[in-house]
Amino acid sequence: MRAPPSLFPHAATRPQRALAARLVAALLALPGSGALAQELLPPQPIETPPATAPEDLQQPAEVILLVTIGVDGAAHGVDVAKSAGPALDGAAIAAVVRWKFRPAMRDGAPFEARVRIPFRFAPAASAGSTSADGGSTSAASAPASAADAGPGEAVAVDARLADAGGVIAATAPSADAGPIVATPTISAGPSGDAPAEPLDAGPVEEVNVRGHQRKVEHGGSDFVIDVGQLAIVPHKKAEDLLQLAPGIFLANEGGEGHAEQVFLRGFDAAEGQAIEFTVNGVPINEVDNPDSHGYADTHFIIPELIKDLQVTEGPFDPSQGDFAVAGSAKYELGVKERGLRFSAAGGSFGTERLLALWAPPGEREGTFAAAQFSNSNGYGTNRASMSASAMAGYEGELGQRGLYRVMLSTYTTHYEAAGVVRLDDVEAGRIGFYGSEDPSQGGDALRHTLSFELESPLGDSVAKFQTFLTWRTLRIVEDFTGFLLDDQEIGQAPHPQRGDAVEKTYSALTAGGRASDRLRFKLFDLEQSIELGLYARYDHTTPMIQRLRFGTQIPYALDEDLETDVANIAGYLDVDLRPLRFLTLRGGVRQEFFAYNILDNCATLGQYKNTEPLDIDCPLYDRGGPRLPTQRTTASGQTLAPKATALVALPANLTLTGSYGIGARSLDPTSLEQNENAPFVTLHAAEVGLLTKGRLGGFDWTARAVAFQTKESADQVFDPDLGRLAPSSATTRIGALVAGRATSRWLDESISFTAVKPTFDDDGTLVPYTPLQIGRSDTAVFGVLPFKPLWGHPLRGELGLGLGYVGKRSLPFSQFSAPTLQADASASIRWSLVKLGISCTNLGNQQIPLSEFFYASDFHSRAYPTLAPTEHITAAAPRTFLFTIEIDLQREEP
Amino acid sequence: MIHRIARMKRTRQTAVCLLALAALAACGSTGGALVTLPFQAGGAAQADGGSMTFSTSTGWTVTLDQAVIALGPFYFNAFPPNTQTFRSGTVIIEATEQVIVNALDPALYDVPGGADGETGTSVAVEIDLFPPDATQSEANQQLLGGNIGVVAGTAVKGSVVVPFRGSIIINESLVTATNSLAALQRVNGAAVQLDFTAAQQQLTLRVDPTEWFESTDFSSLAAHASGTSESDAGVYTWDETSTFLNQLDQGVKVQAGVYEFSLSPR
Repeated sequence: MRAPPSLFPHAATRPQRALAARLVAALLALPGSGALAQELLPPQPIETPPATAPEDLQQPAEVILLVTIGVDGAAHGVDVAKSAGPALDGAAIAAVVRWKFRPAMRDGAPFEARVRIPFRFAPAASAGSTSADGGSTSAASAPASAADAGPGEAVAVDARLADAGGVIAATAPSADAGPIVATPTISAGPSGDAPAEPLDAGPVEEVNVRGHQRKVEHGGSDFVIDVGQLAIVPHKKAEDLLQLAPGIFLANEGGEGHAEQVFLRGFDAAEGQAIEFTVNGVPINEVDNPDSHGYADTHFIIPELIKDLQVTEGPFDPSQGDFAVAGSAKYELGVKERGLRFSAAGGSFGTERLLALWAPPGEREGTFAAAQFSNSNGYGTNRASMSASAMAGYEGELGQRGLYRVMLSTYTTHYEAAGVVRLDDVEAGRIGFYGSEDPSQGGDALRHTLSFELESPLGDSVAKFQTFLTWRTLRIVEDFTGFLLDDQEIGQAPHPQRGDAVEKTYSALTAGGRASDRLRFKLFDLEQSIELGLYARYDHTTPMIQRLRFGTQIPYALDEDLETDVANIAGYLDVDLRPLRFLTLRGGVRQEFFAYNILDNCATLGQYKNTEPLDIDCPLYDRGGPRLPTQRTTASGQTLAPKATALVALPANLTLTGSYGIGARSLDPTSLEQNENAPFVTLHAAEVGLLTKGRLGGFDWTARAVAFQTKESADQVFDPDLGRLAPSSATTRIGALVAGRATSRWLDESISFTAVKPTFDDDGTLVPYTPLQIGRSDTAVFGVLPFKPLWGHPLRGELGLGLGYVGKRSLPFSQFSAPTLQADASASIRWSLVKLGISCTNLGNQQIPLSEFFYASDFHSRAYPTLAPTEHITAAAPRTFLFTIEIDLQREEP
Repeated sequence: MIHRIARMKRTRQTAVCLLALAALAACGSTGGALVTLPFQAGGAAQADGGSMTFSTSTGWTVTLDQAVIALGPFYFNAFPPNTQTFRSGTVIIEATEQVIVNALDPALYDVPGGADGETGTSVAVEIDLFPPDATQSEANQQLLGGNIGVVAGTAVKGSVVVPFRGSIIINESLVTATNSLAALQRVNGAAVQLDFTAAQQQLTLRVDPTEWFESTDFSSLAAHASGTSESDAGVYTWDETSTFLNQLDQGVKVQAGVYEFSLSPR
């Protein structure tokens, strides 16, 4: 069938479909109070000019259109869901683009939504008959509006019911002042003839509005970040988007393929030790990873697939699991701009990136396939990398109201790393700022993930079920100290210092699932809900740590060789109650259980006998006599963590929030003893906040201010000898943040500032390495350029600017780092299918120390060993350009 | 006017908020401090630049005409190092340059690079004993001839007069699985009590060579014991296999009374 004429020539013809529902927009799950009220209203047609059928129409026909309705109430995109041929499709499209709507509203603010509108054409012989039903038919069995429906439910939006609200004018050609029908009458003959009657004026066609159940916000530090136009600002990796949430700073001492080190509100969360990461509900944190317990590598995520990101700063959400001590980061994948996209980028330091992304038009946002290939020579010494990632997802309907999602991803990388450099070597000219003390550093990683989700209303509740499976391998070589740690020990042949480079290898099979059911009910005539959830996860891991001869990949000593089985089972209760119209109470409790089974393959490490040969890592004896080198340890533990949040609606669109919660993190299993009641690191957090939002001069804006305090029972501080965090004493953090976001049709601005003071409880000294102030501004300007369209296609431009301020960081020995301010910018222009872009990070080309440490090392850079503490740094990238060309096929013109 | 005042008030309140926010994190420290201090070394304070005469516990009266030794780098430990494991004592201050000290010259000379590290109390100093490195003058390199020191003088006991001249040598044949070369090439923790603070300080080292000979027996030289020899001029010397050198070596590595470190304000 030939594609119908269309005002949007790049909208492809859609195959006919049996099922009706389409994803319109994400629904906020529940109504709240005050500024966090969560009411949803679907689009309401206001003016509905009829469609004019071709003169030769012989048979009744139906065309179903999927119409994107913008915040201005106009139709901005039309797809044909059910075609009746090019002529009728074109007639329907020509009519609907002239329709006017009241836009979809969420909490009083308009948002872009998609609706399904049928057009029924009758031949001219049927002209003159009136609608059999003047409009009294209603889909009484369906909820009256989306606001009353639970998430995931199909909602029948009846335009005539909407008219009952007195907001829609009659435009039926018969001049009947009765209600508007969603099926407009159309002309059956030449223009000017009376329009034909509807084929069947019985039941009103349903406009189905369906959305995913959206996470409710638990307090003032719960940020649901719709990336939106801020994707314009340079964000190379999925982790970079974390910086859209206040108080987050990223560092990386391990290279391009190494997970980022995340600092969050005074916490050094390492590579994930204190933040729970999930991607479409799949946990990313790695249990018993030798680099850090909780290591979370999100490099496999293709950034263009990120639809939104929820960052919860603090342990206030009962659904947060292990590692959510400082907070959690939940990535949701989906592609709003449908089509087929190819992108090629090249730039500084031999950087190249290829991306192919397919988001079939007419499918849900969760249906996509993408592949990304990248490589770079890296800046300075020893920073080359290459990686490949492929992700695919399918989101489909289950029955009338259910959804299912399948996600598959695969990723691999190989990278070199420069590691730390001694600042005194840099200042003396012995090594460059972008140099490397040990070029043997780097790593490899592999990840495969499969996930399946179901979501379906069950009576008055919405049930969700997910299962996931991940296979992961990792190898990291790092050297923080050079030639410091390989002392001559008893049982060793005489040797000089052979080198401190550490090779950490890891493989893990993770399997698990989660299930939840959220029940809605009314009490005090207000919407309430309770959610019960279950979580189960099993990890089988094989971590190993070896020491390598300097400059080689040859191991000479074993530090650790384990095989672990860890089971985590949790249950939680999460309530969302409105006892009063202005008061919302959220929170609940989470019970967590862990079981550990650890096999140490070299439990006799370090044992020596005078009569035995030297240099045996895992001897078959210990002080007690002959034995096997292996030993198994089993332990278990559980913890109960309550969480509570109160939101009070105040006048002037303000909301006052207060939250309290206890978070818990499992300990590294290697530290457990047999039958030990496995301890947890617990954290008590509290915060108060003030939130507001509004609309001013075409801008939708939100703002918040939050003050917080957290107390952690046992913290972790970086230990360079181990190359990872090591236990330290209890700590307290107090701080505050301000944040805001403003969006309009041409601007998206996000700004935040966080200040925090982290101290040790025993002596009041500052916790080292964490930034004490973090500021961030992301600005995106976009729109159609004021030039004459070329061959009917307008030019659309985008500008992005990111400013990142990192205040002084506390360092050991009463030192502080210097504050830094980095600017990143991008610009792009789109014409028809083609988009050209340029981005520049570190505009000022500053030499910025990304990480700073103070400790002793000896890289043999001087005549004699250097054993006293001194400053070490890792270098942030210098000014880096990237040029991109992107071709979008099947793309809807905005 | 009222609106402008209200706007100014709001602006001021916003600024105060932001300043308070920033001030929140401005105070406090992680404790401790880094220090850098000048370092000088010289001979015994009682020396006069010429010879030094003293008696040993073995009954010899020694007149030293020459006592030069290469010392460094120096590592100041917070607690005594393990004899088997070098650098196990937690180094807080280091001076990573070598200095040639004339133990008979009381003048103090700068140790290049000074000393640096962190505040704290040091109770032991590990001193490396290496031959002169490339930073030393040609004259000193020739003087020490690839060894860590040179001594010359006369020892008298009763009627026995033993003129001597020889090098202080590290006997590498003593290296074993439990006695590494690194352990042989150092003074493994000279006892000190030094409080390094953030205040301006001067570090000083005085080397007293009298203890080097405390347990040496010059009669082995006179008796032409194994590893010893006598020149045509009647001056006795030794090699690395001699018992005399072993005794001298032990004296050089004595942990008390030889290497006197002190801190003074500057």
